[in-house]
Amino acid sequence: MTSDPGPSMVPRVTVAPWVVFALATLVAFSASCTGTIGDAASGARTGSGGSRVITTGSTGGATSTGTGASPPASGSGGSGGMHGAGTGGTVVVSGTGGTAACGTVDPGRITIHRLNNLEFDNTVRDLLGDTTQPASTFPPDTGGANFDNNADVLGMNPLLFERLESATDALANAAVATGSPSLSKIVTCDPAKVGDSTCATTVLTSFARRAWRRQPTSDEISRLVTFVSLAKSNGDGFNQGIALAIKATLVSPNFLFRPELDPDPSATSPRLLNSYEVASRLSYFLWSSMPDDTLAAAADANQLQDVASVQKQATRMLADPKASQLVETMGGEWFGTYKMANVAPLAASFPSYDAALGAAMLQETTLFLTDFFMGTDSFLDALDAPWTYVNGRLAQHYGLNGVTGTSFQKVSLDGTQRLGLLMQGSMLTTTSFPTRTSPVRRGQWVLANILCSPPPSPPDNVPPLDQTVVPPGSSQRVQLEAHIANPACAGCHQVMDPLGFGLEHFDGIGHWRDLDGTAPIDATGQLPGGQTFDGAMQMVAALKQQAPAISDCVSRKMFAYSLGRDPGPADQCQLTQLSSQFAKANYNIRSLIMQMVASDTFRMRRPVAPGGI
Amino acid sequence: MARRSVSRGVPGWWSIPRRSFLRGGAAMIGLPILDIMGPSLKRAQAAGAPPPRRFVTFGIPAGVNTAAWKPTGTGTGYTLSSTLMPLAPLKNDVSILMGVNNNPANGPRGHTCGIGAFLTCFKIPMTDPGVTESISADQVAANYLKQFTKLPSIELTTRILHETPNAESGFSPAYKNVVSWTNATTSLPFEEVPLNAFNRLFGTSTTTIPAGNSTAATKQAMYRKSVLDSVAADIAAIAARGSAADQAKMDQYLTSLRQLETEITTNPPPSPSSCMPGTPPPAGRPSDMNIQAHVKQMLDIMVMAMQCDATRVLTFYYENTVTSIVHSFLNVNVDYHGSVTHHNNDPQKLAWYATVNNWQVSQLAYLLTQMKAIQEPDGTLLDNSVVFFSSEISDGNSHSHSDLPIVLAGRGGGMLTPGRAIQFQNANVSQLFISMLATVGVSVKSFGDGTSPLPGI
Repeated sequence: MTSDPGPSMVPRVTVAPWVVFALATLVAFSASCTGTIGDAASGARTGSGGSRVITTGSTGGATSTGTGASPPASGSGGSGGMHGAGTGGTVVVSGTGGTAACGTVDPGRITIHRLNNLEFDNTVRDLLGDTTQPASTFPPDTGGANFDNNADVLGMNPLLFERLESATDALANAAVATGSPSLSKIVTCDPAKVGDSTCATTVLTSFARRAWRRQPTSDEISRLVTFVSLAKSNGDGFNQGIALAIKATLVSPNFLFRPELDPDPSATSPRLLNSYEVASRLSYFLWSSMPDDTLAAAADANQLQDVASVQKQATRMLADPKASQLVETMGGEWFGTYKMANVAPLAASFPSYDAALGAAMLQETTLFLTDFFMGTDSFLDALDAPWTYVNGRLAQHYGLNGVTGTSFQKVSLDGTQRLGLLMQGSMLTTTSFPTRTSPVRRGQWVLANILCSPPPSPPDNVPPLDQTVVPPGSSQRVQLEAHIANPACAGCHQVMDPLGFGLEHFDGIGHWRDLDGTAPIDATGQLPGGQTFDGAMQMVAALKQQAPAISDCVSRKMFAYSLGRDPGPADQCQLTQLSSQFAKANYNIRSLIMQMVASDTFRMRRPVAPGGI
Repeated sequence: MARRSVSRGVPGWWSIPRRSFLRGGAAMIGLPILDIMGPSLKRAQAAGAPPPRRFVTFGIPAGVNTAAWKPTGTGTGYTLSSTLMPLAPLKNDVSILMGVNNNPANGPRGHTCGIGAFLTCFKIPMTDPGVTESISADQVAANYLKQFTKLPSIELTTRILHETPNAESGFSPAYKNVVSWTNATTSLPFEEVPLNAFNRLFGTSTTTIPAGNSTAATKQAMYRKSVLDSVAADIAAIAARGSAADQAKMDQYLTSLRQLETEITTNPPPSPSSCMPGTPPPAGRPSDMNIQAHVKQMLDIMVMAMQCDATRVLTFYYENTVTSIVHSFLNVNVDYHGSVTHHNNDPQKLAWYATVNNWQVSQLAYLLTQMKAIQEPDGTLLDNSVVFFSSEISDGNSHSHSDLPIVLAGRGGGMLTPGRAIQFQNANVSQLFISMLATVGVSVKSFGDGTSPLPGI
């Protein structure tokens, strides 16, 4: 595995021994899970309102590896395989870059990329072993159109700089403090024996290489080494000088940003990224952190210039526990579950909600998505998957029997009125208000995150609803249908609201209900294409028929997150290619990741657009 | 005490409270009297330096119940409305402005375009994820006033908006969660944790400097500056090879670096004996249940920042433009943006709206009262300030940006004549900002869509 100095990431939740249920409809899933299907027959459908937890022969961490579909394993083993994702090349990637049909590719350019707060914390963890999350004192990231790693909005401001300078001061001093575990890793020579200058050069060349994710120049090293003489001439020791140099390395834009400096900044033709740049793109995409020693060594050896090498590294990296960050961050921001940290359902309206339930909802979705990111399932199946992960608290919330305790278990949802991603508590809660559901938000969520077709803008001045039409206290549906009747509002709401109506049986924290106040729930509606449905089950079934739109949407999301920039008109051909390959690979997200890192867009950049920017 | 005579007998900062004086006594021994009286007074007394003038903005989200807001009558004899009633004791210190519009705020997204124009009077283009903004009025003031203080400005809120994907399709979320802009692409993020704001204004660096050890402090400052010098060289190297967009970011980096450098080298933190910020607020962001305490902590920090002359440009925004906060303490047990401000003319929602507005105005009254209690050589702190209280929206249901609710407080050092309700015809917020800037010594001919000051305020 890796030889990072930092502690390996420990899974946050202990997942119960891998449990599966065998359903005829999940042949692919079951078949890929080698050696774990011990109780297929007992996976039969259960009665209404209940769930069935099907325990199987236990598998531990690494023993379940071997295909791309292994589930989260018992979590205490750290590197034993959070995902146990396959290293055996089970993901089939067609073609190489897959962009031949696009002719001369414009890979675009990414504005110089600042590490966002999450990336900063992860990077100092891997660089210095610091797990204090110093970026928690930084101003929150602004966020781009899709993800928090969008380079266009990751800028610098005086407040951030103040906090950065302060945080790096503490980091640098802690790194060389007497007794610090990182001291011996950083100061690898004895200045009394080899001399201050020689030792400082050794120490700082090595540190700057890791911190700046490239080889530092001799001029840069000379400048850093002078901090040792500065410290000593002011009565301080060698290590104090090293601390100053470390701080200068960390306050530098070479650390905080990921520069991809073009040899010829005025060139208009694309260039292949150098191996250092590819390594950084890979590690911040898959780990939201710096390259590990293996990846860094590949960069030093200039071995990241061809598709096969890049995919080989990506495969290795996805098997690393740090890849859980991809699911948590990309998945969390894509589907909005990161908002679980801030939702506050009001106790008067939702007395059963508390922090433990909220945490369980978030964990459910993370575990669920992990299967789709790391396994071989089709993403389309996420929409109507008749299984999920629950602990005792969440099982109680969903009305499922047979699960207790704090550990999460994979359970069948068969016989319940809930299935798939859209009916998970995290989705239903983050799209609600503190006191009620919002069919508008839920509809917008489906349009924006599953179909990538957010609704058109509302008119400038929204007239109040006519009180004679909508008496106060009317159901959500009656109030919203008044919007639809209003021509000024119909443009958006005719598209948005019906999707949300389909989910109206789930209240503001995802609990099943039959009434909205005193009115029976009406969960009928229709998709943008005109297909009608009654209830959430029919809605997701109809939604699943929109495979081409979903495929395009997932491809766009992958493009945006992997590059830290949003696709533009010039990227359309590449997006079409990605989507087509995604569909051919049975809508498997892991395959899409492999296709993405192989693409010209990922491995190339152009300095200047033919037009000038 | 020389200060007592200056203070005209009214307690306040200029007359240091006796208790504070005794507490700081040990450190004061041997220091010349002026050194313990704080940088502001020293500067104010230096030849040619203008007396402190402050530029304060206080924003509330998503408009007001306009019917409950509007006062009756105009001029000095007007009658406060129910919403404005908390200002009764301060009636001579405030004016209610009516008929003032922010036309650049008109656009397809009421909240985003409104907040984008709130202090900038700039019509934001529909761009995502990049942004094109314009300098905000508070930052025009800060560009001038920053020479006198530790920090150019502070931007405080009780809740930073964090929306990412497709929150307002077509517009970058980066438009919606800030109000202060130093240029077209650089925004100043809000601080929502009181202790962080407190430490930023009144604290020293994280590096521990032994008390009273000026040699250690000097060396530490020198080390910090040396690090910044090295970083400046790295910035220049990247800027030299980057695109225009990269260079813009390196400009932001260098500007931020220079600001800290100035702070390190020329503006030592106020001495504890001249500025008594008191007990720091608790760590962390207060919970929603403690929103009242949260607001009070932020307002107290602002008053102290002005009293200590740590900054002269202060922006406070209550929550954010689409906040879901529930005002349980007012018996408004539904989320504010979705279920109150979108009132649909529902009488219950309108009543809730007015209740919350009334409380918001009471918070303004608290701020103004604290400012008025501090005596300075040429009047009260409030007399020497201009305070703009408003929202990015007039009515939360229509999302209109015309006839905005505005309270203008303070005398701007004598340039404003408060105490009236004033009805304008098609005046612009940008004109008001031009007038407000004049009170802090900044003369601009145009700002946003405004090309003249607002007459008669």
